Amino acid sequence: MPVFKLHLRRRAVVEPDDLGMEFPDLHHAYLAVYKAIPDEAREMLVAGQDPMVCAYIICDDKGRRLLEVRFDEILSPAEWRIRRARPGPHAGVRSERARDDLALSNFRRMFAAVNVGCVLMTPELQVVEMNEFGAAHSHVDPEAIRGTSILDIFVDLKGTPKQHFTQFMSLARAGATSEVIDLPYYVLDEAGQTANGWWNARTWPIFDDDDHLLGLVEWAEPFTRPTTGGTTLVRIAPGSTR
Amino acid sequence: MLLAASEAPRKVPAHRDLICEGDNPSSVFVVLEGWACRYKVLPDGSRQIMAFMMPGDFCDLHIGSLEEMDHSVGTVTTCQIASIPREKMETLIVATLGLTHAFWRAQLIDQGVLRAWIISMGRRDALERIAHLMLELFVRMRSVGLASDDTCRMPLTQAVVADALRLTPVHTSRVLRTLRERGVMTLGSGKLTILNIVELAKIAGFDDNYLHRRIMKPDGAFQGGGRIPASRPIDTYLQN
Repeated sequence: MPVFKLHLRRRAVVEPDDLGMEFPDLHHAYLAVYKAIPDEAREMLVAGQDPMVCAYIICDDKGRRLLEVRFDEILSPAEWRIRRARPGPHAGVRSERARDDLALSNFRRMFAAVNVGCVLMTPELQVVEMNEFGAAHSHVDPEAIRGTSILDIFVDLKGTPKQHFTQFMSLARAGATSEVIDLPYYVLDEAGQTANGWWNARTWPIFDDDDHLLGLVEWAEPFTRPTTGGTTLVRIAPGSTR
Repeated sequence: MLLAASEAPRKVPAHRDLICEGDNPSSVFVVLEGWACRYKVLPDGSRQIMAFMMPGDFCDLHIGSLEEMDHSVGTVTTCQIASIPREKMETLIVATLGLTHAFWRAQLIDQGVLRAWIISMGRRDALERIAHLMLELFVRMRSVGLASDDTCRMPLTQAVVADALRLTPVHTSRVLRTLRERGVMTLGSGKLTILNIVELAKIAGFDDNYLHRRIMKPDGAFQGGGRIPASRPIDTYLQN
């Protein structure tokens, strides 16, 4: 299994994790960190330390930064729930914009610098934002694809792989956490050259308190070799509650 | 006598149940080689490990008195397990007073270990809990001749340690790193190395009195009711 390093940042000081831990993929590493944060925060509070300035930085075994998981984001309720609970004047359209701006700024903060492809989409699968890594590997202009359907931006995805990708996104639109494994498409190899490769991806739906689908986040990891034999698998991700 | 009563030892692969919660207990298991654990799975699927058994330990001496298991026993590593059928255990207990006393004492010590774990869960933070467990396991291994002065085999993964101490694997990993950076112990590649037993015991608030038979105190040389004196090297503190 791949090794992920979980460095703990307290303000500007980083406690490095030199050994790392094994997880099946980045998603599992994130879930493990997510589950660990509340108990660790409690112990920090008892010890008189401030957990709200801490974050776990998840890196791969080569030291590449994949994800930062801030304690305050895990421990605080979603800000837009609080805002929605306190409607101000001109509520409605402006509140929706505030919510959408908040979602976008959170997405950028979490995924801008990671070494996986990440996409924020509307429930209709229109691209709101794609991070730099995803755009580079997909050979797309991240500005030009805003508002375009995710199903249309990978121009070289055809035939059976396109069907698999469509199925993968359809599951997400239906509200499930969907997963695709070993989807063949172009990747950038270690030398930065375009090569035939495989992608493993997951898409998470984001729901509001009334269970309405607000949007989708996809993250996708490229590989130069298939991870499970090269046969594409599309499914609802294990552990999905929908 | 015990050997004669037990069935032929069998090899059990790692991560296999010897007996499950709800089963009707028919035999007492004895660990001859390897490690096993006593555990319970909660409705949410999480697992709480309640004890580790190492070579020489009985898994559940009293179990013949119960109709149904209220927990499970499973292997942590590949084990050699001997089984003593319930009826034979009862015969042994009735017929041999010395064995009865030995079993009773073993049960009482197991309960002492359980009390120590309850204290850890209720009153120690993550650093203290892990330090305490590692020290306890080291001392137990040493008492059965499976540890050198400062090293022993420790086949527990971080996930297993986490399940025993109600921590997450991530938190466990970070605490083990802290203990390593403080120069008190290292755990890796299936090996535990105690670098500074005095400091480790101080962190854990460790008092070996609950282990009773597993440590024999040097005659009259202990001060403070079993607490590790600061100046004693490990080989004078721990005697087989």
